[in-house]
Amino acid sequence: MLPFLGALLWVVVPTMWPNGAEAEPSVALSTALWYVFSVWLLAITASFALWRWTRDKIGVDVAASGSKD
Amino acid sequence: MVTLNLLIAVCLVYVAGLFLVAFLAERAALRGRGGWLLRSPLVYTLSLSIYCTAWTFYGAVGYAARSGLEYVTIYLGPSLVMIGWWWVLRRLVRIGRAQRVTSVADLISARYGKSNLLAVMVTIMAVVGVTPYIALQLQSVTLSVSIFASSDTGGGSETQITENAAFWVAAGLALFTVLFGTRNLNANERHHGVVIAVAVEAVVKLVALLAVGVFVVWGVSGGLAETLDRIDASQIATWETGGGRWTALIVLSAAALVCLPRMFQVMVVENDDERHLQIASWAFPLYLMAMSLFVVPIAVVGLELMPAGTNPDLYVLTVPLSQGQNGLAMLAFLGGFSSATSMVIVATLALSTMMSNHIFMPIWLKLAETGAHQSGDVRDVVIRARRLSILLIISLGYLYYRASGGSGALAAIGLISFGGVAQFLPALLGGIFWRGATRTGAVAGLSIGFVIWLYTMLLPSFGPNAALSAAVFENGLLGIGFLRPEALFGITGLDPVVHAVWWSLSLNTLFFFVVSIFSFPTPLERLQGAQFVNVFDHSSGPAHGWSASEGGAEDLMIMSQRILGASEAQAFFVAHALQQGRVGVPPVPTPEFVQALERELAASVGAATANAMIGQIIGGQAISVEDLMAVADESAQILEYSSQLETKSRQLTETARELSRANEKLTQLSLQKDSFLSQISHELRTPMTSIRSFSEILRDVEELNPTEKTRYASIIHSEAIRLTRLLDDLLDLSVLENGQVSLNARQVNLRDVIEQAVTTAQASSSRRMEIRRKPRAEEVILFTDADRLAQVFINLVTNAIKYCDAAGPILTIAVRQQEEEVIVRFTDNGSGIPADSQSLIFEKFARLGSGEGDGAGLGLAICREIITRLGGEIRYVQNETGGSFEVRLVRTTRQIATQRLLPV
Repeated sequence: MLPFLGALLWVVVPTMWPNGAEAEPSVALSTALWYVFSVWLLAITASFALWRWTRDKIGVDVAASGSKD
Repeated sequence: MVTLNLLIAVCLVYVAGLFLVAFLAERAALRGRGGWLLRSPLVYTLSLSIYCTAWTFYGAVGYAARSGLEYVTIYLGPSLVMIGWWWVLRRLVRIGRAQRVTSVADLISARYGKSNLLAVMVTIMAVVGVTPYIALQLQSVTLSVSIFASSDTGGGSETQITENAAFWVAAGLALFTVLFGTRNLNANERHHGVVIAVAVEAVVKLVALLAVGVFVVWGVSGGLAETLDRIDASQIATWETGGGRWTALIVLSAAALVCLPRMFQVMVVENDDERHLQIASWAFPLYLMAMSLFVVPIAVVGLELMPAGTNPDLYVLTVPLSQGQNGLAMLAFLGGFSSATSMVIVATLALSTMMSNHIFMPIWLKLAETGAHQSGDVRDVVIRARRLSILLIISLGYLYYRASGGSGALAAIGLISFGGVAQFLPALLGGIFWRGATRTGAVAGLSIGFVIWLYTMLLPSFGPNAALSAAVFENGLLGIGFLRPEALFGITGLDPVVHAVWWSLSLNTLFFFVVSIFSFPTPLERLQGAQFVNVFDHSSGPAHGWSASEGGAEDLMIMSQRILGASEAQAFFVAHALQQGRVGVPPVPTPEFVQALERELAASVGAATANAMIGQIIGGQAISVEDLMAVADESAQILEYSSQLETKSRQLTETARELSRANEKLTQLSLQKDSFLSQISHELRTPMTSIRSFSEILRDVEELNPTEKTRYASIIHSEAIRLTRLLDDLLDLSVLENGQVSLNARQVNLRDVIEQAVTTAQASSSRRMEIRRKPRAEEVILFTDADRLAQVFINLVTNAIKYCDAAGPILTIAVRQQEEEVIVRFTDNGSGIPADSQSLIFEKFARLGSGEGDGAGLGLAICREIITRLGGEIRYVQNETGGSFEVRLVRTTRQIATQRLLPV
């Protein structure tokens, strides 16, 4: 889910915001900052949780592959 | 007050510190110590911060001051890749380790059949693409030096000082890279000294930027809330970025993370453990977030505090200086210096490896008379080639800096580089996920993408009348309007970056896929494709094997010593000899041994060169069982697919044939239907016309005499009978054809049936005919429907009486028994039925005579249907004595006969 959720929240959502070139009042930069950094923090937290959850499996996989020098 | 001399002194001390750290790390690695730090995920993650260059340190603030939040796209792209797509990077790392690749060019080359052409192309593209980036670093250092120089000298000799600074920084970086990047040809191309130095610099630049940010937010603005108020009140208070540009920049920066040679170097080549990548999947985005956290506050405060005309790229320095924070400014300078130097060192290292392995070494191999057999230490050649490459690359960066005037916005220069290296992405990703990708496709995609990037992004960056004339900008290349560099193919109104990224990447991808589909891979490409795409299934070795004789071992030893060094090569050979159970003699160059040696050599000189060098000595390549299995598997799939296609094709052909037959039959049936309707209309109309005409005469003509009235009434009567008979026949035929007839089967004597038929036929006809029979032969018991059989015989006898044209007509009825059949033949002595009409006589309305009293032509059709229902057969036989109808009947038991009498 993370690749698509990340793309949706970081790529798609901001493109829908009205900007200075349009008639609608544009989004305040401080609001945009809050949004971008909040999503960032959430994504990092999710990635951290995923790492904690899968690190043992990945460890077994890497050890089995014999790719470690 | 920070003087220029103090600045230089601090820089020298800092660089000396870096040299010391790198030296200690190299020594520790050589002695096998310090692995806990050198191979730690922390150092790995910090080394990835090489992504954050002077552009990030200085340029991001300038970018934010010019375009608001748009700067953050440069961080979001890599964060998105690391968080969401780290498994793609893991595949790259696994392939890199399995194939011992030394650079992004090496990986692409190895994937597409160890193509040196591709390696050279990627190398040249990378050098051209990264040169502006190196210039950007030199520019940032000189700009930062100029800040201190102007305050120190009062601006008098500022220009001279900055130009000197650029030169000396370039020279110093070249020296550092030469010293620590080419000390030896390290197996796997890992540079622990450089990596640890980069990690230290990562900490320095992060601490420096955070320190400036904290000072700006809490020292200048007065707190977080006040800073947000300042942001809302600033000239960049609103969201200004267009959706297309936002998306394009994120895509571009995401592609750059994977494709930039320096990122490939630290992420893939320097990787010690795949698990480090998973830790970096959250740790590196965290680092990026920290690096970008204070960018907007610094930009906003800089815009507010600094006088108009101040270069916003330098707010990180000028804001602390303006507030009298000289120590902080010095720290910020070191942060920027770290960002620039670490990038140049690693980028140069990566590019020099590519240049020496893929350009200089192949040329040397070509020019040297004896190639790999030549005596002397090849390592010297490789190391010299790398040193020369380092000097060349840094010189190119310096020249670009001088040519561009060092005045462009840092962010704009960085985007040009990103656009250039992003052209590797289709070939790179296609190569590791798609077995159908071919070398020709990769060459086509890279070529078109590079040319478009060059024309729409790099050359226009110099401005009109520099690389491209103003006329080209205005009217397009050669005056062709749709070749304008900023409005390619007539598409106008796009942001220049979006325009360049869109056209270069989309056409690159299109050409890569289309040409790959229509070109055929070489056997080695197919093998490498299988190894790359299925890397997690078998990642223990390279894609092919070798066949070697024992006589080649010494030559291999000599070559290995010259590349790996005598001690390393001897240790390698001794270890493998021991594995083979041989002591004091070289190992047998088995395919496995030569594979291992090739991997070892590839780590130093690249896959293509190693392959070529071993090929010069051994000559023959052999395919391993695993490879054969992979190819066989692929071939089996192709064969199965072909077989399925063939089967489907046969089925389709058969279906088409059946459809054609069905269509012909339908056409015939349609014609028969039309003919039938025409016939039936005619048959009905003829008696109806007679009835209508004579009835009108009887009604309208009063002077008719009784004789005439009687005659006309008789005609009407006979026509009415004819009509009735016709309708009866039609009804009878319809019932028979539809299988709706119910047969009354019982045991009958054939003689009785024939007797009945002859009597009835003779009674209904005025014409006399002699009928010859053999009553004894007719004594046969049948189990059949006697009435229906009699109906057939009556028809046949009546026809004979009616149509036999002999002067003395004779009909012979002969009965013959043959095994299970009884054959009844009706033969007259007439001329028979003409040959061309014989095939039609059993069809409906097939009449051979034309007399007024002829029937409707349904009789024989009904006979055929009846005999068929009775399980027999009727046919016409022409013989010398005349026409003959032969009826074959089945003489069976009740049970069998009942089955045979079922409706067909």
